Amino acid sequence: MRRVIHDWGPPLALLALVLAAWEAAARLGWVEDYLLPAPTEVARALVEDRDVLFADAWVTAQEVLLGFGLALAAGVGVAVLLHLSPMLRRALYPIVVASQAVPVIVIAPILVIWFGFGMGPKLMVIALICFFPITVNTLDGLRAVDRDQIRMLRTLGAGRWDTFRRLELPSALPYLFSGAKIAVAVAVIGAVFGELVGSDAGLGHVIQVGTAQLLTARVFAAVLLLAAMAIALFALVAAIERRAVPWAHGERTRG
Amino acid sequence: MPLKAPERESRATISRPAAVAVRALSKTFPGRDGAVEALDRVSFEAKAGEALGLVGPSGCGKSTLLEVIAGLEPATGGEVTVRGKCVLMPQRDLLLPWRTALDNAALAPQLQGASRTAARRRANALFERFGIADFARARPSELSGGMRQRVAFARTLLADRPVLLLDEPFASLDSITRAELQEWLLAALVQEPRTTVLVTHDIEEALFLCDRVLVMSRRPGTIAAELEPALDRTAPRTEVVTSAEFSRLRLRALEALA
Repeated sequence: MRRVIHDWGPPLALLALVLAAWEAAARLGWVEDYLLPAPTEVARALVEDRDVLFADAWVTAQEVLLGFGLALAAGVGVAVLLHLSPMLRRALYPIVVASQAVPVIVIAPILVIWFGFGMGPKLMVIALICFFPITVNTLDGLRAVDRDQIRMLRTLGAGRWDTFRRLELPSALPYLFSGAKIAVAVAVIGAVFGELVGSDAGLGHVIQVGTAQLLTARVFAAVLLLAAMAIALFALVAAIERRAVPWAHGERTRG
Repeated sequence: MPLKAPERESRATISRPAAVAVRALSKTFPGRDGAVEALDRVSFEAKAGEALGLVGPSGCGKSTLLEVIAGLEPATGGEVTVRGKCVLMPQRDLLLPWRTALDNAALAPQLQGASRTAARRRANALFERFGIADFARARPSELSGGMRQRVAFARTLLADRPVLLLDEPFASLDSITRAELQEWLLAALVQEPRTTVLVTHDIEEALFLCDRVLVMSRRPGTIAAELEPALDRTAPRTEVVTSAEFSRLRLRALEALA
């Protein structure tokens, strides 16, 4: 209990202070309501508009999960291919890097022109920005294997496939998760961006329409939901990581 | 781990065939300032069932020698013949952190095509006999240095090769643990007899563990002396290493190294 207070007390107290000041500023009329709604107004929007907000949040969540899943499959697949074939690595790696250099902001409108207002373009945008951290981290992990361990496996009779399956892949898992955590955090940004460019549903759509109609409290509520979604997804990946690669955490060797 | 006191059969090794034969072996590495000569026409044989020790100062090419015998490095000159196959146990235990101690040892049979269940059964039987079964489910990060080497040695044995090449297996351990593991290894090799080539910089270790000890000179490595410790291996280690014969052998080895 003391620990909980010690760890969580200061940030919560600071947050409460900021919220109180914000509430006061809004109530006392220092700022216009349509510019900065009071926290209680945001909370009310969250409750009153819950049907709209949660339906749209569900759309965005689906986009994020599917887009992230696509990027995960493609990223790990490409990393493994590039790792196993030095020729492919030489040919494809610069292109993978270049794919990150082309701004998604430029591509997204084109995708909307090609694929319309449906879920397709959003998935593409999310997958594009998630792909890079996953691929690069996994590839680094596959290459960071201890040379001595590879030799040890070879002297025990391991072939290329054995080495990959029993050594390189498990060694790369902690790296893969690092990439996945970065990816899942930016995936939400990608989804909103895809929706802002052109959509008829999703929290990005809510923000766009809400801004135009000066429903500022609703926009703030949508932003709050987006942040909660990003944090929840990150925590989920981190939790899976702790279960899947327990050896990578708190590794300590006793003498 | 208490194992039965080791009993060695008579040391009539001369009549046995050579399990490892090294003839005029040379090895040079390309270096920045010209080639570095690691080994210079080294010749020796290890008889079947024999424990052969190679002692030498750091950088005399002992590890390179084992790597050439194991086929990990090509020789520059000379030839190596190994009857049957050999397996190398490197200095670092190189246990896989995601596998338990038992599964690390089971890796060796698995890599030779055994199913996971069969490999585990074999590893388990060996763990029982070696008195380390209590640690079977522990992860490497939970094991002490000495225990990790025991697991690494079990993995090496489970590769089922008639020739063991041990490269400074206890170099990373403190002297107390090292002494404990030397006794343990001696007993383990009685249970699981193999032709053993042990490389070490520790004269005492080589004399205590091996039937025959070759002393190597500084780089480029050559054989400087050959010793045949006639020690009573049924006696406790402390008695063996403090005997007059042991001191005499150590002195001879030190002279050869100088």
